[in-house]
Amino acid sequence: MKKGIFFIVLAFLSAGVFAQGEVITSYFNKYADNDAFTKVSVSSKMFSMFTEMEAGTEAEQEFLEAVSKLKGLKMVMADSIADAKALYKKATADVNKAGYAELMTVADPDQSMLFSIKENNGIIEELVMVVGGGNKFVLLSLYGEIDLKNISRIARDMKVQGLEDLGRMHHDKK
Amino acid sequence: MSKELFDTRIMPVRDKMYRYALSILKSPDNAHDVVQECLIKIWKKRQMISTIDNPESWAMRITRNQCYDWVKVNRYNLLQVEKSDQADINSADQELLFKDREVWLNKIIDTLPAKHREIFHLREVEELAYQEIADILSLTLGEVKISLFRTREKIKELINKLDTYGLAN
Amino acid sequence: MDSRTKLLLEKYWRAETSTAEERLLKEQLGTVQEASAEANYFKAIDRRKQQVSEISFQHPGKRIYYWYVTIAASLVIGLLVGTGLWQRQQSSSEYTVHDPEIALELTRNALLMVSSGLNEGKDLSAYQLNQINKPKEIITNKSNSNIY
Repeated sequence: MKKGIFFIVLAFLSAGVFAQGEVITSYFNKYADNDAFTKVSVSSKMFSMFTEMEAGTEAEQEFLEAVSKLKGLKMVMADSIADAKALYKKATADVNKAGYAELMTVADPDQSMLFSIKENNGIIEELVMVVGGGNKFVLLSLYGEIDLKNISRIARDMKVQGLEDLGRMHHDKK
Repeated sequence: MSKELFDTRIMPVRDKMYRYALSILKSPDNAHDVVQECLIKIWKKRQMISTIDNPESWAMRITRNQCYDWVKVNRYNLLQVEKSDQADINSADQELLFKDREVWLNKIIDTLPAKHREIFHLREVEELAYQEIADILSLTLGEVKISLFRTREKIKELINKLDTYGLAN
Repeated sequence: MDSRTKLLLEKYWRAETSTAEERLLKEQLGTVQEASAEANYFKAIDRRKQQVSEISFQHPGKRIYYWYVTIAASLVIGLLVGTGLWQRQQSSSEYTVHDPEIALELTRNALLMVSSGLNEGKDLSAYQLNQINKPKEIITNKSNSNIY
C-alpha cells in the first residue's frame, strides 16, 4: 500500500518534471484514427544527422544552426476540417492547462496563433505553436534547446525567394 | 478604428520615415525597402496606435530600429562609408563644395558621428521638438540639446571659414 | 537680411531657437536670393525636406497577414501528401519519419512556419530579441505598450 502511494507520488513528480510534449502526445492519440489529421514526428536521431550537413548559403547556415540544438519535432495538422476555430480554442486551453508559459498570441477573426514555451533555468526546452482558423489547424511541438532569436531569423532570411524555392523543391519531388 | 488611425497618424509620416531611413542608410532603394517593412510592421500592430501618445515618434523609432536591423542583417558597414567620406572632405575640391550646396551640406553632415547626424536630421529637416528626438533615439533631453549645439557650432565654423575665404558662391 | 532675422540667426547657432523660430528662419533664408554660405546651408536643408518617398502602401489585410504561415503550413501538408506519407501513416500508428531527406524538408518547412509565425505576430526583431532568452520579460502581449 505504502509502496503504491510512493509510486503514485513519484509518477506525479516525474510527470511534472519530464512531461515533455504531453499535449502533442495526447493529440497524437486522440486523432490516431482520424484521417483528416496528419501526424508527424522527427526524432532526435534524425536531428543529429542534420547537423552533419554542410550549409551552402547564409540562410541555410541559419537554419542548420537553429536545428543543431533541437531534439525533436512533432506535428498534428489538418487543412480541411469543419471547425478549426473550436479546435484551436480547445488546444490552447489544453496547452495552458499543461503548464506552458504563454509567449504570445495573435488573435484574428480569421485565424489565430498561440506560442507557448516550457523553460528550465532560462533555457527554452519546448516550444508549442497552435494555429487555427478557417479549416486549418496546426499543433506543433519543438524540443531541445530552443533559441527563438535564431528561429525567428529563418523566415526573414528566406523571405519570399525562399518560399518559392521550397515550393519548387516540393514539386520536383512529386 | 485602428485602420483609421493608421491612415491618419501613420501614413502621413511615411515621407518623414523615408527621409530618416535615407539619412541613415544613404541609399534610396534601401530606405524605400526599410520603410515598406516598417509600414507592414506598424500595420500589424495597428491596435496599439490608439494606446500611444505620439504615434509619429513611435513610427520614427520603429524606422530607426528597422534601419539598424537592416544594417546588421545585411552586414552593411556604415562606418566604412563614413570613413571614406570623411577622408574625402579634407582633400575635397573646394570649388565643388560651393557649387553644389547639396553636396556641400552632405559633406558636412557626413563628417558628423552617426548619432549627431540623426539628431541634426530630425531637428533641421523634420523640425521635431527636442523631446520627440530624445524619445526616438532613447536619449535624454540634455544629450539631444548638447549634440545639436555642437553640430551647429561646427557647421557655423565651417560656414565662417567659407565666407572668409570668399569662396562662397 | 533684416535685423530681426540676424538676431534669430545668432540665436539659431547658439541652439536656443524654438522649432517655430527655426521654421521661420528657414522660410526666410531658404528663399532668399543671397548666395552666402549661410543661405546655401538653409537652402540645402530645404532641399532635403523636399525628398519624398513615393511609397504607396496598401493595407495588407488579413490575407497577407498570415500568408507566410499559411503557405508554410500548406507546404508541410503538400510535402506529406507528395511523398505519400499522409496515406502511409494511416495504416500504422508510427508517425516517425524515417527518410532523412523528407525529414529535413519537413523540419525546414515546420521551422519556417514557426519562424514566420513569430515574425508575423510580433515585432520580435527590434525590441525584444535582446530579452527573448529571459522568458520572464517576454510576456509579450501585455508588454506591448512598453515598446515605446
